Amino acid sequence: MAGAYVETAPSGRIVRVDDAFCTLTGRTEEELVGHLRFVDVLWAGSQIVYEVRLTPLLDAAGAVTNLAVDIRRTDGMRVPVLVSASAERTASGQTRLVRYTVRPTEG
Amino acid sequence: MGVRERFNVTELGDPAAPPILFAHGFGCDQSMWRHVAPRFAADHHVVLYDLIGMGGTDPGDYDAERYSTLHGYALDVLEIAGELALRDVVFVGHSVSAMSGVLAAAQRPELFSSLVLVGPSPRYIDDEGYVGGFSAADIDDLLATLERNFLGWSAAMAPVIMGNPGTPDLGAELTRLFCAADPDIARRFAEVTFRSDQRADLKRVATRTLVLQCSNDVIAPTSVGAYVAEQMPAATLVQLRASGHCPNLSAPDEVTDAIADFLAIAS
Repeated sequence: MAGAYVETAPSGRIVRVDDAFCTLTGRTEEELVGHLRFVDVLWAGSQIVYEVRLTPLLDAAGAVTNLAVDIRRTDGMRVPVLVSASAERTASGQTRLVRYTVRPTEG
Repeated sequence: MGVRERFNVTELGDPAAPPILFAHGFGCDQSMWRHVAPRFAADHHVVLYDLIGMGGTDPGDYDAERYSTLHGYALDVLEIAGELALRDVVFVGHSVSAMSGVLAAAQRPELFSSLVLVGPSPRYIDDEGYVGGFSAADIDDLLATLERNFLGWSAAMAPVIMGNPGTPDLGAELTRLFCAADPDIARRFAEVTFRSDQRADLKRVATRTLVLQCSNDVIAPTSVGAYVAEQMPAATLVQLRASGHCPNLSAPDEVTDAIADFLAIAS
């Protein structure tokens, strides 16, 4: 499968997804957009890794590549993925949105 | 080697001013406080340090036995306070280091004027009558997930950071070492952190305490912050609007204001 794509607002809420991300998570666009954050679709262990590594690195560097985490699909399946994220910022350095690309590592 | 060098201590402000000591959590280093700590330098002696095995510390200083429980990390807090001759310390700890601060204050209450616990959790794993937010299997899953990512932990982030014009100021030293960690130490520290149970220590600490609880924090749920505040004899719970586990990064204004308000009431 090709990479999936997600955008989040500064609040963390998902504002845009593609069909591939819906397939990966087993959720509809309506369920994801405006309701969930990226971290919400991950397995518990991956949620911790996301918060202790991706969050600080994204804040400092504006970009993170290939964080290995697992998506928790709604049917209970574990989907291992590599996540890359980059922050788009205003001239004053405020994050405007974060773009994620998500690549499955198996299957 | 001196304490300052061993813990890569940074000091800001007037050394004669009241001390405020910032401790970062698992996964990064003292730069986690870079949006918050400098704002206290006008009227405090601001002290920051790296936990052993992270940031600018020497992995050779890691002692597996000392750091087999959070008490080793609490001892570090006391050593730093001792070496820098800090008195009436305001201790600000994020995540796991919040609990190290609680343990330090339990051991040497006379050293601390107050504690600020940002996203604390005395136990991450659910227990009878207690919701920590995780199962034992979740923590095994965490350790396995960390293992898949450790390759990147020892690598310096400098080229990426310096290439980003929107990045807030980082000193050259911080930039070079940003978020670097020794994978073996990080693995052990993760096990100690996420399998710890310090619930019994909370009621032993009568130090005036501020608990800062984030919204939608997957690591430290709201019920856990409420539990900490309820168990500690002199704790106040403040619910932040900030979402996630790192309000020191995502909402530094809100965190700074909450701490400043808390300190103003004391004086």
